[in-house]
Amino acid sequence: MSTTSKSRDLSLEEINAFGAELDALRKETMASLGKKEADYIYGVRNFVRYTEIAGRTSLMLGWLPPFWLAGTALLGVSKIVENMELGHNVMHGQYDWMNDASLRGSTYEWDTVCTADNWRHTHNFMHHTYTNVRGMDHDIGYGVLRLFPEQKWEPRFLANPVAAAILAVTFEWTLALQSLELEKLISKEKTFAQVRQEFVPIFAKMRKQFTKDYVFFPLIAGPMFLPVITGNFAANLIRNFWTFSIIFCGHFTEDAETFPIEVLENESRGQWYLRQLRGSSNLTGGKLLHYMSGNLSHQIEHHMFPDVPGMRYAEMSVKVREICERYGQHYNTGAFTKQFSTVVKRIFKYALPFSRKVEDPRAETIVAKAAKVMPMTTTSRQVTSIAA
Amino acid sequence: MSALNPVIGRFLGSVKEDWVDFMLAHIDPMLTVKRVLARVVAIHDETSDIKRFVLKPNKHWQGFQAGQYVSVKVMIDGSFNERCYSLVNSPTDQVLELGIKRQPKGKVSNWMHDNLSVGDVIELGDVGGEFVLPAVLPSKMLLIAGGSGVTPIYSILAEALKRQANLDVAVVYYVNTDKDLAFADDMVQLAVKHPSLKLHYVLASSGEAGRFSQQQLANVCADYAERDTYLCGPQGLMGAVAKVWAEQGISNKLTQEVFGLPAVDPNKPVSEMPITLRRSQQLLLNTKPTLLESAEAAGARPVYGCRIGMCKTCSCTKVSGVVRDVITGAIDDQPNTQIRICVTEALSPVTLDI
Repeated sequence: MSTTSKSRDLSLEEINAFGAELDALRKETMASLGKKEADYIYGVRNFVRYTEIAGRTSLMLGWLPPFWLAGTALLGVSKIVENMELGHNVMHGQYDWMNDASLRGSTYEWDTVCTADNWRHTHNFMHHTYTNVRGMDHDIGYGVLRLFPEQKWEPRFLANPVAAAILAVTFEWTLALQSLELEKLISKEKTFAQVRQEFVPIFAKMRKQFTKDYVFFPLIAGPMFLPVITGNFAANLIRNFWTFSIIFCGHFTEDAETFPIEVLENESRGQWYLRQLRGSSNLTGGKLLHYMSGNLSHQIEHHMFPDVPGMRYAEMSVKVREICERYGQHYNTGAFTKQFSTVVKRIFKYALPFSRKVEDPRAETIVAKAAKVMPMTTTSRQVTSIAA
Repeated sequence: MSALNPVIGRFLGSVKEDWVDFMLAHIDPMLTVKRVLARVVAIHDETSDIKRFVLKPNKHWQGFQAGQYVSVKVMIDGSFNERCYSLVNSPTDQVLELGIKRQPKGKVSNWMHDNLSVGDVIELGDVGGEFVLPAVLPSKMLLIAGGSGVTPIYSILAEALKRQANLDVAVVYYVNTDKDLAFADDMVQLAVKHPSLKLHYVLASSGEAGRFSQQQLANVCADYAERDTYLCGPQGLMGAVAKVWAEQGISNKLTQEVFGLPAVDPNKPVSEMPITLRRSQQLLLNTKPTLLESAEAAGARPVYGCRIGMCKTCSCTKVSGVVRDVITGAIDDQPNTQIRICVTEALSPVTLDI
């Protein structure tokens, strides 16, 4: 945890009650899913398809600058929405209840270099289960960045800003390679042979995506192949930058907290919700921001309810915010520029050896803190028996 | 679409099927890569609560055997629901006919009665069922139908007489009143054409003789025990008939077709529910609080992630069965839905596609 959490420490009873209220909110929302949500996701899917066709067609007239600009913009938007509002959400199983096999979380394949299978493992399972737990959540720095003082400093982190910039430009490629955990080659935890074997399906997807954007469409454009290549490249770059920015604002803002691995021991449902809340941050904005960010502007709600359709997060956030206020928990939200500037600050600050040694990680877990807090209605004897 | 040249085939293989279907639908809503779609061409009222839906399938329809059912997929309030309905038409007909009864609490049957119109396009799933005629027809047959159970019975009757015009076949059709006789005109026409067909309508409204009993059946068909019998109807009728056949030791001459979704049997303890893992061909008992734990206790190794219902790594298809979400308490009795086995418990026999 950071040195001063803005959230009040809660007793175990309060944590249970907190979790129960959020469970009730989830249950109520899930029971109300129907035509509205189905129509919405079909609308998103159709928007992705039409903008892709319009963008790619426009690029075939791309020798004329207005067509190149329009084509690149449309294709960039198409890829962003396909990756975020459609793909990421569908793969979380948010629309499994529709029984439409083309929108099934376990089989959906998305338009980016990262394989859906790897994403489901590293993101849905690892990142969402071990959110912001140091040593478990690989998304804390992706193996190349140092973003929190508790992470051990190494000389390579002096290149933080450069690494971050490269990450932003190549984000879809680095996400594709994330499951390989290449930094383990440096620490010798992994062998090159292992990595090479795991790379096989990743390479297949990379080849497919590369062929689509840089071989197939340029070929069918005939003499117009050059603006198609440059347009596709630019559209991919636009998507990389945008997804990088939104994702980095999710867990690396100033007030975002990380946790020691001990926090996972006997973590109750309420404690899980608290960790998701304290490790995530939102972005304030209108419907356009919510749509274009794949509703990751509601990172808190997404982390509390990953399998609830994202288009419900805005409405749920009103209740979530109210619950957090009553329990004295900080609800981390702010405008994009403000939130992103604190992320940039982290990238620069922790390139340098500012660190915080954690003496007793167990003392910092939510359980331990709860044990020290006296709830209003129980005796001290009951509390100390849990502290062991 | 069936004779593709290899290049186009390879190209289509790397393009999502639902993307191609989406594009094809702009040209013609019935055009698909391989999904079977059917357009409603007519709807008739058979009785006050049974409607006959006539459908024209697209090119991908593979055909069926008389007596079989087809799975129908309709979108209701945002989700696809599947139900199996017996095909009433002859397998050589150009159109398909379904006889669907409005069930009191039936989600799909009510929707189809109230919302499906001529011109609508619906999706058809698999054809299935063992309620079919044998390769060699028996010398004497008895067909017992109750209510909407007449649908596969009529299909079998028509096919049997087509194969052998002078087949000795008796039909006993149990309904409440004469207004509830479905496909009656069709059967009468067959009776006119085939003197060897003996048709009996048994109306509950006519009193004591209007209900099934061993005596009542013997009165209309004295040699019932010698006939190969096909039975389809409501649970009460089916149970009563099966009992009589069992008492006479002729259960092997009785073929039954059961309608309806699985239901929870309050008398059977949950821990004895059989769970079938279809792909790995394993059968196990529901011994633990969740399906995942029960499978693991029996030595199976389903894939899992967080084990708290959040990451959906353990999500798989529940082919059939009634289950309950242990976190929300929500009950799911629909066929072919996605469930997270780490937070789901079985309430009836369950089949999973893992």
